[in-house]
Amino acid sequence: MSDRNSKLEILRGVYEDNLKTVRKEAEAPAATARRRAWRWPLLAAAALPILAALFIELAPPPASGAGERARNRVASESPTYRIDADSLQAAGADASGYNGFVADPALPLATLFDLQIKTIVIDPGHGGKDPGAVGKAGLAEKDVAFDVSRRLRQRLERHSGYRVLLTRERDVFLSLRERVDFANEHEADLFISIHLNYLPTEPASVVETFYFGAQGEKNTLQLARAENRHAGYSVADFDDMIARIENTMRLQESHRTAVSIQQSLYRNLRRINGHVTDSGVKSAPFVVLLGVEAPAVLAEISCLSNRADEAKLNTAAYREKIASFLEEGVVNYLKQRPTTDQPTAGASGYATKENQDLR
Amino acid sequence: MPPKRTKTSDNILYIGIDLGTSRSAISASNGKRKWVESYVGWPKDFVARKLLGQEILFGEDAVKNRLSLQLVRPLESGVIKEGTARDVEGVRELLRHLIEQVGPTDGQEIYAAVGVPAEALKVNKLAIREAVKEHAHALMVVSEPFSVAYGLGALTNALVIDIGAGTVDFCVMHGAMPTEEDQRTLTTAGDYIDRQLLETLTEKHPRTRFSETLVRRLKEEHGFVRPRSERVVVRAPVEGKLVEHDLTEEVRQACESIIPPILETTVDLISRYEADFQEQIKRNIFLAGGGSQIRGIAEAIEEGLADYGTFKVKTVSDALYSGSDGGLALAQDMPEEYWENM
Repeated sequence: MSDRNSKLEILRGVYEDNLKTVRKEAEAPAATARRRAWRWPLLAAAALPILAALFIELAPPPASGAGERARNRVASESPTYRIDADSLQAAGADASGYNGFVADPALPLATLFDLQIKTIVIDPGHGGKDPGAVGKAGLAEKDVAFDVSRRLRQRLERHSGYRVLLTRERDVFLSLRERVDFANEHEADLFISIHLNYLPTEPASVVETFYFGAQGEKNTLQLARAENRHAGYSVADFDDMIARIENTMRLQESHRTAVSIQQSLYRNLRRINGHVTDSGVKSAPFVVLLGVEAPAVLAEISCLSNRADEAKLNTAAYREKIASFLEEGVVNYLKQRPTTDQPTAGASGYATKENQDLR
Repeated sequence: MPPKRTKTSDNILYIGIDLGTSRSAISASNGKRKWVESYVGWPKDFVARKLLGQEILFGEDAVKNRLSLQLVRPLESGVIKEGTARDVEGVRELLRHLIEQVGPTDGQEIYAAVGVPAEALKVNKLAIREAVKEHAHALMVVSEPFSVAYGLGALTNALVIDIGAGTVDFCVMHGAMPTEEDQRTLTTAGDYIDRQLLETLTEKHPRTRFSETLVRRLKEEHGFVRPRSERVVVRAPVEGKLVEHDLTEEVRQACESIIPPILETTVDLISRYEADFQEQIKRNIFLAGGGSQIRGIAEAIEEGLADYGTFKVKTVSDALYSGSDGGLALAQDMPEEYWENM
């Protein structure tokens, strides 16, 4: 390409790039938000036939063949979800009632309902006036979380079929409530909050992944208190949200996501960072996880109190690697479940191109 | 190349602005060039306003009178800090001040190309446009290293490393508009050197009080990497008495602290391209920004990269104006029709 053409090409690129911004300026802040209130009645509606089927299962045996017919009828009358009689049979056989049914880890409700992941919301922790933890050399948690989140989005967008959004697109303060509202308004099917640990008394670099749970260890509860600052929720709101903990599907899926992310994060990190410690998957009462009406996890991807970690986190290459580890964890989770564009559970785990070299 | 227009006669003043964390510069098509330290200060109260006789101060004036001012450096860390309206206002005022400095005539339209730290371009694009559009009739915002590359004519097979105060921005040019994939940002930049140096000096000389201003001056006037015979000696008060301190090693170590991340990022970024292209980029690396003035830094980077092949690293000849000159060249080269919607 000649210099002249090259210059014209570049000038056109500058123009088009700026034009996009001008158009954004002109766009009224469209009310994109449709509350996901539909999801709960829908889930309830989907659950009714199952409960009905279980009731039939637990009721005194009807005349030969009637229960079978009843189960098949319930399944065939559910237009939204494919609930097959065999699954119900399996669930009913192992369970003594609803609680047993939903607690069966071998039968994730999301899989049973064929619920698909379409929208993934990534939440870069902290931001704006709230820097989060700050390392000894001045690196702020909010900046690393934001950068890694952006890199993760870019990576996940390469996998077709998913809309990937960030709760914040710049260095702006958002209360936890605003983050939760963003996820719910954009109908998140999966929510991943990105944070960094700060453990000055720990020489090692601790990575861990959380999903919501009322119980937690003392240290975990302290961490939850720190991350729950600026929540923006009232006590009444909180009580209301607590009531939702019964949402078994969300808990199951949150746990599975957390396991997949933590496994990938630790397995890959330990190969490039000798002092990394696996603190595993934990449940803790993080407000940001509780409020989101979708499976939600919070990953502490590195440890800012560790000088060596801070130095590494200051490089784009290391942040890119962490994003690739998170991508691997998310994609492995997604592969375990049916989606529109991807086959159901592959036998082998997913590894990004660069992570394959680490295996 | 499109015909270069000299539209001053047509009532258009083209300007290029380098909106930096530490210093901001402007180059205009009427031949004027100015720069100012990126500080904006508002008098804290009525007394300060009366004393200073001004509603707002900029640059060195603002720093000198900082005790009477609410002082902001609006692009600290390479982005407009959110949650503080003062920072957005600071950017707006800084731009107004810069444009006034090049003296547009009454009724003259201003077409501006503004270069900002790469990170600010990503996260504050709308806010920057908002701040600039009050003072310009048409506006393009680009990343600072891109602006430098354009000014140098390094449009293809080149890497520009802009070592600023808040960030080190990398931009690979390959004959097209660089995308996010072609750019990287590090936060270990000039301010990081200041923090390292202040921390070391405070540890080593606990009885001497080193200010942030002194440390910054030390870096700007004496900053160097690689061993050299010249000594850095300052006289500073210790319990009221002026004492000489030899700070040569401390200054060198602090300045060298930004080099390893630069090396790593350079290798990581270049390795993403095809092998032929990699070889050409390696021989066409430009250092820009205030940090490029650290003595010996280009050679140190070349040496540090020696394990990965032969690298040729050059420092731009006019670090202060290379960004704004690039912006001006871009503004003047931009086809007229492209300005219409801006």
